Amino acid sequence: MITLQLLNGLVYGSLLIIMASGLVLIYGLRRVVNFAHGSLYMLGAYIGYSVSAYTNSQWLALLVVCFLMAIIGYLLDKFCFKILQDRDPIATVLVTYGLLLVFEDIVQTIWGKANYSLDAPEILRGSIELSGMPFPIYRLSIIIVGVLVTACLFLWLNKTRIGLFVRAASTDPLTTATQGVNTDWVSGSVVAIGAALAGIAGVVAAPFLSLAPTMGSDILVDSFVVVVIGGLGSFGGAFAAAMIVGQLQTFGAVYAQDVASLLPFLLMLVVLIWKPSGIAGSRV
Amino acid sequence: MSTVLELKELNAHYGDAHILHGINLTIDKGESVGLIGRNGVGKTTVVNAILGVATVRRGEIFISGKKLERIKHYSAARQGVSVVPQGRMIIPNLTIEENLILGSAVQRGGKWNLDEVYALFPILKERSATPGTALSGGQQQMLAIGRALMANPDLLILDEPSEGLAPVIVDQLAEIFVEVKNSGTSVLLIEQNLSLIVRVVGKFNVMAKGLIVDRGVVSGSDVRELHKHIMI
Ligand SMILES: Nc1ncnc2c1ncn2[C@@H]1O[C@H](COP(=O)(O)OP(=O)(O)O)[C@@H](O)[C@H]1O
Ligand SMILES: [Mg+2]
Repeated sequence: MITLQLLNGLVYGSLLIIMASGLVLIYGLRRVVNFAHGSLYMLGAYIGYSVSAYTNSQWLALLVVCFLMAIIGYLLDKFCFKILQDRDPIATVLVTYGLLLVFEDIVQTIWGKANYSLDAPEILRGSIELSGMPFPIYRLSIIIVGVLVTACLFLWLNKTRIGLFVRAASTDPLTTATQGVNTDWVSGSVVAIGAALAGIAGVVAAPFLSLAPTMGSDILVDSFVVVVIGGLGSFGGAFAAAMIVGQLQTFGAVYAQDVASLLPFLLMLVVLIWKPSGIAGSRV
Repeated sequence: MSTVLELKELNAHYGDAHILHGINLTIDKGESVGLIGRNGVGKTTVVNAILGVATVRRGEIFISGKKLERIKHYSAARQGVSVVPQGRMIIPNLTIEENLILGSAVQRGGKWNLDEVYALFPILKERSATPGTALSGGQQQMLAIGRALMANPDLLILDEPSEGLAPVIVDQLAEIFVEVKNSGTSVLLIEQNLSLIVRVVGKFNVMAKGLIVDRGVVSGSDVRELHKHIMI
């Protein structure tokens, strides 16, 4: 029972880390706290739903969502985040929150308010036995996606030239640019990746959490908690925080239903009092 | 003679503050030039105009004969002008080696690569995996110079490299600058340390209040002579 609970926590933690990485990347390069990130996740889930309804392929849906969300991300950076980066933080909050409302409205206009659900791909259906209890294969595969995304991001950031430019630009964009790096292009690509990741999280979560217009704000709140606990701008911190919040949510839902939704905030409060810069300070 | 940098009637602003009032400066290929003047006269602003940090409202910048249009922060480096900025600006979350690799972002071919820079500054090689800001001031200056060389520039601009460094370190830097100069790279040395100017450059320009108010040739003149120029 405990094992299954732990695994369920990991599943949710994996979704959170995919979301939080995008938030961390975007904040790192543009100093923009992207309230629209949850709606990118929701948009990804709905587009994924429609593509797989038409083509009957969840894999194709994942691919299309990745591609479309990357384009949306690039455009968001070019026409919004780039302009917001030098503005008052209040302006960035208002604008990205406005975007969230716009995206939610678009989704409701196209898909209505009904809840949908997306089937898992054929080969990931069914369950396996874990310590005498059945556990859905699909949930295990979400954990694998989370690990893969984290590993790829880590290698990309630490072992490639572009990753080096991303890290440089996230601490000192001006010096990085004067070395000959087109930091606007770097930021555009990074926001594209962040948006694509949100889309992936949406598609991946859809068979597991079901689609609703509020799904964006639900996960956004937890993702923010993860980013704040982890220390804005730190991947290592976000990773640890995602796992903790994932566990807290699943265990809370079983053992402390009444206060479950408050637990992440309590944790955030404790961490902020204990260490205001988050678990990992603010290192990328 | 081809030029690596030409500034014509350069007027530069920060917002509404008009800082440069018509700078004319030409640096030929292989030439080394000094720019001297007191604090706040606009020396760094000349660099910032070339880097697109200060706004050019009037006048022109030519790099290797080509006019800089719609100046971006990355334009100069890509066209062969690398800057060792005042304050060195080492990226703190990158290692020494990563800071150097950042310098090669423009991917211009030439003599300089990691091995060559490490040969010039062995201390950087020893500590290649430590964060750049763990270095002493002099070593950080070496790192900033190495980073700029990694771009294989035609012109190296050094903005007050001796600032805050002990005289023995400044002597080491002087030798390095002469070596860079002799390898064919043009140098624009911005300094208040006149003994460094005398050892490195051929010509000098004196700035005051956003203008070049005096020029001269260094050969034959000693530091005291230069001082007289600056007093004007
Ligand atoms: N970012 C800025 N915004 C407004 N004024 C500035 C800025 N940077 C420098 N200045 C002003 O421009 C003038 C020239 O500065 P600077 O070029 O840095 O001088 P120097 O390098 O010769 O010491 C100074 O009066 C300084 O106060
Ligand atoms: Mg200066």
